[in-house]
Amino acid sequence: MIARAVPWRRLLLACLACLSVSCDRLPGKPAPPAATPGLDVSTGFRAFYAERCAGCHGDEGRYGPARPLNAGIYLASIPEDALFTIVRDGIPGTRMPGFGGSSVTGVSDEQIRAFILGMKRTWANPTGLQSIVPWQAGLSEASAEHGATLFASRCEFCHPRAGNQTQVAGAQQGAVPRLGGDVRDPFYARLVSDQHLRTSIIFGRDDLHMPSVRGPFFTANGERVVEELSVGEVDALVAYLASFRQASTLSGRFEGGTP
Amino acid sequence: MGRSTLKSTASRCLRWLDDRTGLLWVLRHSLFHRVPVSAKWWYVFGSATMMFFAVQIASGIVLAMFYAPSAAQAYESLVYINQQVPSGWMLRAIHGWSSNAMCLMMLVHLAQVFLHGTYKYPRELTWIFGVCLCVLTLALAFTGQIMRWDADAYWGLGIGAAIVDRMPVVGNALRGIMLGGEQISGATLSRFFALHVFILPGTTVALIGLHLYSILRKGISEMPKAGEVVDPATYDKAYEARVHKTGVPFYPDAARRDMVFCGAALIVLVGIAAWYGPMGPGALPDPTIIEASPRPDGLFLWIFAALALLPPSSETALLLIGPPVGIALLALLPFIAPRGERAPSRRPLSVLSFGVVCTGIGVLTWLGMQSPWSPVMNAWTSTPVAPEFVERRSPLALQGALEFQFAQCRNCHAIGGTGGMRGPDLTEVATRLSWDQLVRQIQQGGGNMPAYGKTLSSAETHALVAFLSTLDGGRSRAQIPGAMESQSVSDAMPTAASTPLTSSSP
Repeated sequence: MIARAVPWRRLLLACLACLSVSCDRLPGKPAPPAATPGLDVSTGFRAFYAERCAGCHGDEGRYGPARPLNAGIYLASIPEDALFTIVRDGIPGTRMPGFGGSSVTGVSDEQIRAFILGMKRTWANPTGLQSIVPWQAGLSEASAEHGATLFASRCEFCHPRAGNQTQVAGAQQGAVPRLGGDVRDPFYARLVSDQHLRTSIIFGRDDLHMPSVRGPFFTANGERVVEELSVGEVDALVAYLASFRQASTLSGRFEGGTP
Repeated sequence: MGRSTLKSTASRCLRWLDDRTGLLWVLRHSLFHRVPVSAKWWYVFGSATMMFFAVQIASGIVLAMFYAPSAAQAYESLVYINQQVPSGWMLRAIHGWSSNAMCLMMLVHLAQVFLHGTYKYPRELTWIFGVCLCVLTLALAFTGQIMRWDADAYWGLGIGAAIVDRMPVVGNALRGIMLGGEQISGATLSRFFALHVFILPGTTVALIGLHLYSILRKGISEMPKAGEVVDPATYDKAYEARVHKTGVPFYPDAARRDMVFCGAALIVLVGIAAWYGPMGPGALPDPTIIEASPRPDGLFLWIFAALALLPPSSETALLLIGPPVGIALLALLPFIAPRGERAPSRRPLSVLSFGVVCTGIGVLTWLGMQSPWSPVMNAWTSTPVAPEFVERRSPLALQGALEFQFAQCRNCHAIGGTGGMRGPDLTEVATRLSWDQLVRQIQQGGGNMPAYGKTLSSAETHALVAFLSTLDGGRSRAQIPGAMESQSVSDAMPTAASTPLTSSSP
């Protein structure tokens, strides 16, 4: 058998040549530094949301302790400028921080607008928007007494006083579970603005089974009522719930109206 | 000019050079000095360490041609090397990974020398130079990390400066010298650049020379054998006799093994560099971003973990005394145990201490990778409260959950397995703490937790406690909104163990 010498030098040179030619195609080549992420695309919007919003507004915009954003009519109702102000500056006095301008995270205005656009495109649903009660408070004088009567006939079944475990007839029939919890807690009233109460009444929370202003509601006896609350009735309910604030310092702080 | 004339001219030149410098003698002595026949594959790690150092010198020189050591341009110049310079990223990758490889080989070499008792008589000086080289190599790696001038480098420097600042009397001045001023600035980068590129490599080259010289002078040790005791009175003569009788020339016998191992290591290095690419640069350094979670490179993770886990009261003492004493002890080892058995089987204490140190470093490195003590700085905005902790909660408890996120409790406390690990998991906190205890803990803090009494209003605290009181791991079905008993305004809050108030739902 004739032993053939291995051409080591040529082999090495060939390897080096291959390496230098294909260097830019090797897996270790770092990607170019990312420019400002384009948030108008769905993925960009979702990345922004997951990083900055999901903590309070919930995964996929639902089931968070804060207002769900994956709520079609709510998103469609709030003008872009109002949303922009909220995301950029936050809502003073509440748990909504600002993410733009001088904040630590310093998101640019363009990014915030792109984010809002992406969120609206993905989650907003204007179906039935025309008939919904305006999201901002009107100028009408609302009566807390009227609100109390309304509350008893439309809300109390799901929002009983804490500790009031008296089962009403309808509940015993299994009409609906009483899931709302006490909203007449003075501490709760102090923590939320009138606008928060108003937004909650108008849009409800679909993910937690709270109906919107369109109902259905339950009477004190647990009977199902399908009717829409009027603007005046919403104002009256807000006035009634706000009256539990007692020595509140918050009542006058949100007159500009932020959802 | 004929071939023979050329040859004779070259030969004359060499002879002239040899006559003036003695270089050929040095080369001949280095290459063909006799080494013990038993010096086989265990002895390749030192050569591999030096080979990686040579790779770093070569790649570092080229990188220095493109790197701009100014605070404004350093980061951009690295991006430029990665993206624009042909094969520049590969060069950075090789430089970075060879640094890791050099440290690894050096540690293996150190472990082998320690376990084989090679530091004993008469190789004390070789060992001391080696320990110094070990420190220098780690310093090279650390200063190299600073060259990336990214967020990790910035915060790493900040921590380093804080440690130096703790030194009594001279701390403040030393910090000024280290940073080139009061704060981390362009002057800091220039200082570290000078260290990384001139001072440390220059010193390393000099020490490598001394290390090699002392190896040549006192020879390579033989493989240890149980029962072969080192006795300074007889060792030299016996060693010389054995090497003279059975030894082999360094080249080609031992050198061949070195070359094979170094060649293989080089191939692996290029493969790793090609696959994993260069290290960093990471995020831009920005002192206004407090959400950075700086973490050193893998090699220093154990120090990072040890610093994080040290009890605060002993931190300064251990930080300032620990390293110098440890290094001094290591360097003085040949004088502490100059004679006796070299075989690991006869030195149980050494093997045990080696095992303890390795296990300690391994565990600390693992902890450093996990860093459970670091708050997850973005958990409050990015880690959702799971639906099961939102459903069936009262509006007040939901406000409390919001407070839990907004006050950044989530950064240190997990619920349902997500969130920070610095504080205890609160998924079942209501089974451990009553309403009053929760209020006290939030308002006054305790343990490692800061007090929030001045940050949260009474309503916010109340809501937070209302939420936390629902976290009982699902033991009771008390989470029905409205179930949380709360008095009008009085301080007598109900406890979590209060009677569960269930809804009409099944």
